[in-house]
Amino acid sequence: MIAWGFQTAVGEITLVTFTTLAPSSVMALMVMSGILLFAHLSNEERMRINTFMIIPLVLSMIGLVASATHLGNPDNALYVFTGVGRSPLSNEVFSAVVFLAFSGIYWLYSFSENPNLPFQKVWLTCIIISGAGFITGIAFAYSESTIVSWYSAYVPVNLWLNALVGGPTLALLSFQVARYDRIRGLLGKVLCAISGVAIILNTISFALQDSTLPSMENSFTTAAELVPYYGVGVGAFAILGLCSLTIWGRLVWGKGRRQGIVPGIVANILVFTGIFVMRFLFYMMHMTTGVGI
Amino acid sequence: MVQYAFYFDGTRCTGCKTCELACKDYKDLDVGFAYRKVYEVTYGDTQKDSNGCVVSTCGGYTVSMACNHCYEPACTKVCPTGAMHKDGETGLVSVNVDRCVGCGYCHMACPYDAPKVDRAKGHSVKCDGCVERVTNGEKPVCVEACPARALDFGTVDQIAALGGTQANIAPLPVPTYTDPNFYIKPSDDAQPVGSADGKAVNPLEVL
Repeated sequence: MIAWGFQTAVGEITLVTFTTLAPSSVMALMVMSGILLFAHLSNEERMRINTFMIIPLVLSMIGLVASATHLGNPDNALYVFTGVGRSPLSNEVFSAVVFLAFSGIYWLYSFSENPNLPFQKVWLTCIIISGAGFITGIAFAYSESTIVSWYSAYVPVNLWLNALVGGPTLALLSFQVARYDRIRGLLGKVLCAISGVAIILNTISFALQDSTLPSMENSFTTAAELVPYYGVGVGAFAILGLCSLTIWGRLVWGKGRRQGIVPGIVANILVFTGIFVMRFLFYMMHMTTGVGI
Repeated sequence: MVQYAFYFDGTRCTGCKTCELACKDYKDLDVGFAYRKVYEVTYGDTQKDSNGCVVSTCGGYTVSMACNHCYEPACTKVCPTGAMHKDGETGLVSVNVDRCVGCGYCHMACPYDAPKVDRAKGHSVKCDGCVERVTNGEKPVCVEACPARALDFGTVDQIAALGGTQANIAPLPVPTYTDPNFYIKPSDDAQPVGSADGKAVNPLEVL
């Protein structure tokens, strides 16, 4: 039965990509917005952080574009908004558009010659709130009782924890590129700690979810038979995440001159690879009650 | 509003799959697409007892099923565009191809595996109850084609009066999920919904 699961995940590879990139990118933008809101920044620091918000913004847009490529007929995409409030997928798309509108407009406005700081702060608050809404929208996109392997509390919890694993590390990279040196102080340590705790909680949550898979059954198979190597994936996720944190730990706690961005990029590739593996396995386990795989 | 329903007589079905082929022919479906499918369930084993006698608990039966045009369809509930809709006059569930984005959520959610995205066409496809035939007073082509007269179609009151019960045998899901308009007269071998013995054994054919 693993072949059926693999076929499902490969068929939805663009959604695997979207749900890997978007939650963490959104969280990174929320973190950067929080710093812009509450930290004491020089004008130059503010400008650089504003500029390099483009890193998570582009990654989240790549995810969104990837998700759109799986549509059979994107010409009808605007009809998606007619389902807001009824269809979980419409809610997800609507929350994505709201978030990207706030983020994109803020980023463009940050290049104006005399940006209005109070206005920007209101806008940053909107980014944080709509970002939380977007992540929640993705987390509940498949909340339908007939899809027995996805209709579980573990699904939204894991998605939110994914965002808390990858978001801080992507924010660290973006801050590093923006030459915001305070990541080598308390900020960097707090972000590493958040990601580290999220990796532990996410690994526990994945393991608990794994224990429920054999009992999820339809008339062809069980969820466990669709993803027989789920435990291996969980292990890979944890190891890749901890490797990423080790690199960030050396950069954040290390003394001496400023490091280049290559280790930070490698650290993010590692953590995103771990999340990608788990998202792939998530789509592999799709099954409905009755006869749907 | 009239609500139409399908009827399946498990005591008559031979599993010949004429219904499936008639549908594929009438709807001109390509390889990989079937709006009606015949699920095969087999169970039990054959062993020698302590006296050396061969004893068997084996059983088997078939279930011919298309879209059940449910009262509470999962496909219409999750469809983001409203393309998957339930007709107000007939209760038949079909796809408005001018609104469908081909996202596949209907396929992911339906517990009867009825809708599927046709990538070549760019939208979901499924059984529409042969609505054009029904409008002309005919029955769906699968019903007309069945050589054993194991299938029937009519208003839900007519179908319920035939004596079956609402979609309550394996490999189907519990009917409370979507309230399907599918009534079944089970064969003697039929297993109850959720039975460990009620596994479909022809996945390569129907998935």
